[in-house]
Amino acid sequence: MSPDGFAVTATDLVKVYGTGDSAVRALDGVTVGFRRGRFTAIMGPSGSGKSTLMHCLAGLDAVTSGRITIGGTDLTRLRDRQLTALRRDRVGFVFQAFNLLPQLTARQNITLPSEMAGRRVDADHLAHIVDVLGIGDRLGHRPAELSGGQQQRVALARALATRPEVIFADEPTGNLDSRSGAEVLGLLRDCVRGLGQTVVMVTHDPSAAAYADRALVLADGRIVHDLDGPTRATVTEALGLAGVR
Amino acid sequence: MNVSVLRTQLSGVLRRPGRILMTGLSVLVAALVVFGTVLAHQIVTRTMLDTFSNTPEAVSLVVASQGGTPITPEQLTQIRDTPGVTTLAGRTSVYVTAAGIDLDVHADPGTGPMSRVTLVAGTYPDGEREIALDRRAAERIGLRPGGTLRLDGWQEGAEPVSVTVTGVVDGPQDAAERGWAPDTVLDALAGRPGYPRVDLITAPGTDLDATMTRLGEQLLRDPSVYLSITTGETTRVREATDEVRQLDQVFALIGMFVGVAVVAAALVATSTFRIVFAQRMRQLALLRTIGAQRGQLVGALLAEGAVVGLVTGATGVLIALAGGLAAPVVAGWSGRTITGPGVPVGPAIAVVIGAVLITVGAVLAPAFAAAGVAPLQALRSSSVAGSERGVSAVRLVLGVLLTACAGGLIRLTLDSMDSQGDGNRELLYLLGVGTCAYGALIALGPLLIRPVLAAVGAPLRLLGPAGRLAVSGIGGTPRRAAAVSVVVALGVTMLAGTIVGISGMQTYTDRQMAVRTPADLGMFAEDGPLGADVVTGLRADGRFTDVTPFRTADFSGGQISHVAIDLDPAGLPALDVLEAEDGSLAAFGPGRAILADVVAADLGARAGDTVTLTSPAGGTVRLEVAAILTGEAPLRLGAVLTPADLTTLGGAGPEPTGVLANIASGTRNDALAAFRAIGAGAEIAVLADERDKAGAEIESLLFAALGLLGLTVLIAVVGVGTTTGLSVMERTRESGLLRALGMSRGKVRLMIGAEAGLYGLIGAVLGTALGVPLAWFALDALRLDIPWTFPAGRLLLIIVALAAITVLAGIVPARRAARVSPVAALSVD
Repeated sequence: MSPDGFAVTATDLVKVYGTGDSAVRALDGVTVGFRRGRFTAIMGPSGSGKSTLMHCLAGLDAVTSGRITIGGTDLTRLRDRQLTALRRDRVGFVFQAFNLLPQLTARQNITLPSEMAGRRVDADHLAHIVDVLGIGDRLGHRPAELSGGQQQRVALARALATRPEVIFADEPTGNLDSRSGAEVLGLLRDCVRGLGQTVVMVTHDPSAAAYADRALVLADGRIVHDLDGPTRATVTEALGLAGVR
Repeated sequence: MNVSVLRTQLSGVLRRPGRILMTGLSVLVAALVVFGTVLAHQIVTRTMLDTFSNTPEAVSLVVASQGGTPITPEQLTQIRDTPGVTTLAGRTSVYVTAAGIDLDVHADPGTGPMSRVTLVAGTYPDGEREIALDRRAAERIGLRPGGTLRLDGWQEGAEPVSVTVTGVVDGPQDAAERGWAPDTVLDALAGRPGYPRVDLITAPGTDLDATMTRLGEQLLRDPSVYLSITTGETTRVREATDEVRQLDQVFALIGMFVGVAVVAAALVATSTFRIVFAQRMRQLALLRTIGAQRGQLVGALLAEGAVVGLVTGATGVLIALAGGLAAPVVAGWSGRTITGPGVPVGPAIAVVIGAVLITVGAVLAPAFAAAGVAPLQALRSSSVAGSERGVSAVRLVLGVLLTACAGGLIRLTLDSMDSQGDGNRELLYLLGVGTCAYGALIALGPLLIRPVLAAVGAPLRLLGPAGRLAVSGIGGTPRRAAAVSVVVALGVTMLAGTIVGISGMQTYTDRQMAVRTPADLGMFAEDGPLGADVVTGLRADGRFTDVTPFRTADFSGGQISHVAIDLDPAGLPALDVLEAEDGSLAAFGPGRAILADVVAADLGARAGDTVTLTSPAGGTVRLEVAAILTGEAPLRLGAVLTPADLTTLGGAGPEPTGVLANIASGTRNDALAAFRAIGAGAEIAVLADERDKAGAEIESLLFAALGLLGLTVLIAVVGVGTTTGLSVMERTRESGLLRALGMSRGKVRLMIGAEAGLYGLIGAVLGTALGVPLAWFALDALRLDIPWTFPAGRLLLIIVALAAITVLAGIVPARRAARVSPVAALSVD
């Protein structure tokens, strides 16, 4: 555990795609820290670098320069094998397209990351998560038999099952109707409040960002706003300033 | 047809040539194999015509007897006296036995342009009772130039002749050991004047036609004479053509196997196109949404199939052609001369057209299915191609009908087996049974995947999540798995059937051989019994083991006279394979006999009965029948008795009349020499040679069949590779997700490799389950008298080998899957 209370830190992140004239600076010197047990939304117009930032923070994509730590471990020094293990053990993901494996049941999907690590899932912990997320009666079903909201809850349970340092959520409500979306966002916030989980969420929806404790607004690969206790109104205003129509 | 729809599809195809290769890979391999076979036929035929000849180049004319009567000495004189004829050589051969081996002795002048041999050691025979041996015969008999040899078996009733071996030669060879001697010497030895054929050389500048006419006028004056007079050139061509004709039969057989491989390729192509079209479902639905007719889509997809067939067919033909044209060069490196195949344009075009037709045929069903897509599909976001479950009603009905059809044909075959026939009808029925059963497997395959998977996938689950995901991945797409596994099953059905058949043949020959040649070496007393020191001598010599002496005695049963032997059945391991038709071989002992089936029939005895055997001298012995054999008793005799009972029967002295022994150490030739030395004066037989020859024939049959069936297996493996590859392509997101969730690259590779291996494993299990009973049924239906066997080891080897090979086929897709960036999981398509 890092002493400063940060689950994830990024220092001077630069990510350049391409070379020469066609090079694009997707991240242009981003420095940010995410405190433990906080819910942060990353926002920004298309092409602002918000997805790239998340990919890099989560160890899915390599940075051009800069330093990232998760729970005190420097990601940029890790080799693929160690990075893979780190993602498996200390990072949880929630995706827009749910990304459950269609051939596995809900329970098998939830326990998959632990099994890949060769560990058993703590039954009490699992029961607790399942209870909080309200999917206890759905564990034997395959994804195709679940509604979108239920699928996203299963995905959330999968992310929580390994007690990760941080959960990254990428547009988690993008494929959901507004009611299911609100439920999932509420559950994400509950994870932060109730379980002390750290959550970093990328979204373009100001009302989704309003569930977070903090909102970062990116434009052209830099953080242009850092809002504490964002509301729909403050976020919309900040996005307007950042150049969103 | 609307050109724009076609253009949309085709431009998509042409933009990704790699896809063409992938979807058409099986067709490419099939075209390669078919045209490769055409070229191989061409090469072999041309080479044969160019190089094969049993007639030396120098021979200008050949006179051959066409009836049974050889060319007489008088006719020979007439031929010799014909103007223009300078030299002549008789061509004949006799089959004799010498020192326990078969020897094929041929006439050859030994030197000069008519000779086909070259001297290696000693001198070429030119006097009475002299012969040369070829190198193999000399080694086997253990003779050097100057040694003597007793030749036997010239003809019925002829006395053995002792000859001097003057030299060792190299000459044309076949399976038999050969001896060589000048025509006159051989003629005198055989004691039957005249040759079936005479080769002539004429003086340079002689008019061959005129000489032939002159020969004809003289020789054929007598209307009862049947002689043919041809030029050496004509004879050479005819000999080569005869040889080629034999090969044509071989190639016809190969053609059948290639045909099955083509069927396999068509099945693979169908499955591949189904997957590819399913992946394009959204695009096709979009075309339907904006107004493309169903027929237009079908047309466009068929056109795509035709393009794939054309490209892959032509590629396959070109690769085969490159190989064929390179063959003479490659052969040249190893010092062999073969004639190139040329460029057979007609067959090449035919193969390409065939490839196009087969591919279009393969695309037909998938194209109609894909064109039936609902326009709404375009609006759905699901990226997983088809959450398929179960089988359609049509498939189910078809599968049940085919099963019933196979069952009915089995019934018909059983009925027809009761009646007499030449077996052709049964063969036809069997073909029907196999086709229907395999058709049913294709139709009902998706239903069989899960049960088979549950069984064979169990060990994989122990591999952890990667193994479990592989199993559930296959189980989640049973139709796809079935489509590729049945092709593997086609190859394995035939492989398993062949192995069961050949293993049955092996058991059958083993039994035959146990009777005929129960040991490596045999020694049979010529005049009087063997000395007692022979057996002790053999037993003391470390080169021999299982030394088993025996005596024989005649007896009469019912009508016929038989021979009994007092061989210890437990003394020779080869006798373990003997099988009792009735009773038990273990029950053999004092007061009990083992009877050959014919003897039992002659005596009208069954196991447990008491029979009385009478020797010609009047001695009798009453014995209980312990067992009746499925065929003859060892050494093709009638009954096995204990030594005491044989003595009671009478007619045999106290000393053994023969000894059998196995070779324990050293080479066969060394052992034979020692055996011969110990048993000087007795007749020696190398029984092992006969057994080896029979064994080698079956072995080469097995390898030839495996090689040819390998073509089908190859295409099935290509199918597995392609299916796995396409499956990985459409599951990029899944691979990315697994990587994002923390699965290592190695585990992803393991997972995909295991999936590929499972396709092979399921196919191999299905194929074995179908092939083994079919083979058993075939053996019975064709009344081949070959016992059922279950060669578990070999079958297991095939299953494991196929699983391993298909894992290899999955390596490329597995690496591709492992390279997927985890970011791919987050992208929204």
